[in-house]
Amino acid sequence: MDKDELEFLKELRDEFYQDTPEQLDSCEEIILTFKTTGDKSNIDKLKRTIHSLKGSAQAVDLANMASFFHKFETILAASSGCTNISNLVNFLLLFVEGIRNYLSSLRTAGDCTSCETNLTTLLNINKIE
Amino acid sequence: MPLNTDLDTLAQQTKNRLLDINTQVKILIVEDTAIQAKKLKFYLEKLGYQIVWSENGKLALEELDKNSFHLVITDVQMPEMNGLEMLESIRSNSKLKNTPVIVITTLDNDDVCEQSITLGADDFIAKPFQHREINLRIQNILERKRSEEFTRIQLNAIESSMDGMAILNQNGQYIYVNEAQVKVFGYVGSEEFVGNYWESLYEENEIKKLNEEIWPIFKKEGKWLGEIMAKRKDGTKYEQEISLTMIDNGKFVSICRDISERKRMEREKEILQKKLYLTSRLASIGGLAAGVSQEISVPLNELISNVSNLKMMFKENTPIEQSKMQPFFSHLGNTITTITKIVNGLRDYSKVSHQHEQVDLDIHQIIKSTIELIGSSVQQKNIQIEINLNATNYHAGGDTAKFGQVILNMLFNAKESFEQAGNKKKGTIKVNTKNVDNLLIIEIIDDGLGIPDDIKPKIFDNFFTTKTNSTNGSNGTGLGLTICKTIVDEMKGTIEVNSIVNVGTTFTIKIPFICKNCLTAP
Repeated sequence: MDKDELEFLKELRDEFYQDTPEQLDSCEEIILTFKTTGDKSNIDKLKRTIHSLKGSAQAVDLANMASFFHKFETILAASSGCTNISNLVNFLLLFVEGIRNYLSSLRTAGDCTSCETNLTTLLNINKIE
Repeated sequence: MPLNTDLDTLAQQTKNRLLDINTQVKILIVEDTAIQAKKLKFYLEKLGYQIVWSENGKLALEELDKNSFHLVITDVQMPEMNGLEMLESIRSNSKLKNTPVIVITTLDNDDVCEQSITLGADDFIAKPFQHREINLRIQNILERKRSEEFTRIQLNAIESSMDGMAILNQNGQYIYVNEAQVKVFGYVGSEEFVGNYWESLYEENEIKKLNEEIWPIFKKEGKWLGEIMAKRKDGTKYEQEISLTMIDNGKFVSICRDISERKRMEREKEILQKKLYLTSRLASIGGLAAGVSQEISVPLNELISNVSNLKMMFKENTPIEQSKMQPFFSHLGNTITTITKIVNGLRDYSKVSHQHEQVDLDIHQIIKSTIELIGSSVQQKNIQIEINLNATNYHAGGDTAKFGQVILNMLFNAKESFEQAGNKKKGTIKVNTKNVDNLLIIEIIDDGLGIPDDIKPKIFDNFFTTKTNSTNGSNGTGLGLTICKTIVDEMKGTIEVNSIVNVGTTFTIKIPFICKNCLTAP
């Protein structure tokens, strides 16, 4: 990779760090609207946002984050038959929070093993077979 | 190290060349996520492509309406209009339908892959992808599109050709025909043609000719061009010009056209030309006969008149003094000389019309010899001859005696022009030669009497002369310049005159060079 490329990728990652919190806020709003209205179109909205975040994480070489998003997408896709809205909402909010912390740690420290562990556990617990 | 430097240079040169080619390629990226779009744009621009980015399908269609692109790379999931909806619009738009599209999709989405293919995507690539991979796919698609476009252009050219074109297999069976081929044979659709054997389109005699004369040459040389009699669907025959060219695996291409109209016009033209030639021959024979009759009748009438006078004198039975007889005998002598000149002139004229073998003439030598011949008689008339033989290539094809006659006649005419002017001044005759392009130019220039404008057009006519001298009874035959023109015409040359009264006359002879190998040595 040449100097230009390295510089460009660093700028792109900085842009990701800057823009993603806003996207996560948007996810929270969608989740709370779903909690209030029960309208499943919000889940579709959430899927699209998460899908986009996954692509962006892949683009800036945050493979682990992209993987978390991917697993989250799978759970979301399988959640269409879920009747326990409250549990679902909790899971969704916890995930978003987890990602927010992870993002913040990555930005400051470059990695966060504990964040990854937490997210992995959260996703495994809520995996729908 | 020198070797590595050369390789580095070569690698850089190759990279630069590819960059040059890529800068002509314009790609539209359709992607709603800014970061993903920017990354793809960065890498593709680094490879030299021109990139435009639209955030969704709707904006992309607006962009495609305004500008043309060589390729579209699109994500699937986008707000407003997703990638597949956009693809469907592109394929149903007559202006855009041939635009190549690459769909970027996720590996685990089989539905999207299947839908992309169904809707006519040229390729799809799964996320995450390497940028080298997408570049290869871009190059492959563009190359394929270029080939398709070139094939389409070729096919259009073949279909719109006015000449009939057909491809036949090694058995002589038609496997492809264009519109013109169908029409020239009087058929309606290509389906009537394809599958037929070529023999069914030609008469038996022509088939025999094709098989015995044409086919062997064609097999040996791989091509043949000629004319043949073809047969239309309704059985009518027509003359056809046809070329055959062998292509791969024994197949061959035939190109043909109906030349019956052209042939008919050629035959008509030939008949007309023969008629014209005959008419002009008759006219010139008539003209010649009239001229001969006219020219001989004048001195003959003089002869009759002189003889009649002589008879009268003898009838009177008186002694006739010699002094009175002398003028009669002098007139008789002149009349006989004149008639003799006319007869000799006619003989020369008839000699000229026979084709003689062309030999290599040394024009300069002929000019010098002729000047030597008349030099003394010219000098006696106070006329100087100047020669400027500047031509470096002065060889031409012709007859030595005849061309000598041309120069002699020209010089005599020049001499005569001073005599007609009364030799009041010292005169000059110049003989010049030069080369211009492939022509030998010979000029005979005098500063004599000149030729009036009303006379100039007639000077090459049979028996036309302005030379009369009633004192000595010598007349011109009027055939000298006619003979010159005929000889020069035979040499495929031209002879022109320019003249101003009381200034002088220039005769210009232009003769083309003829290849030396075509001539016989003198």
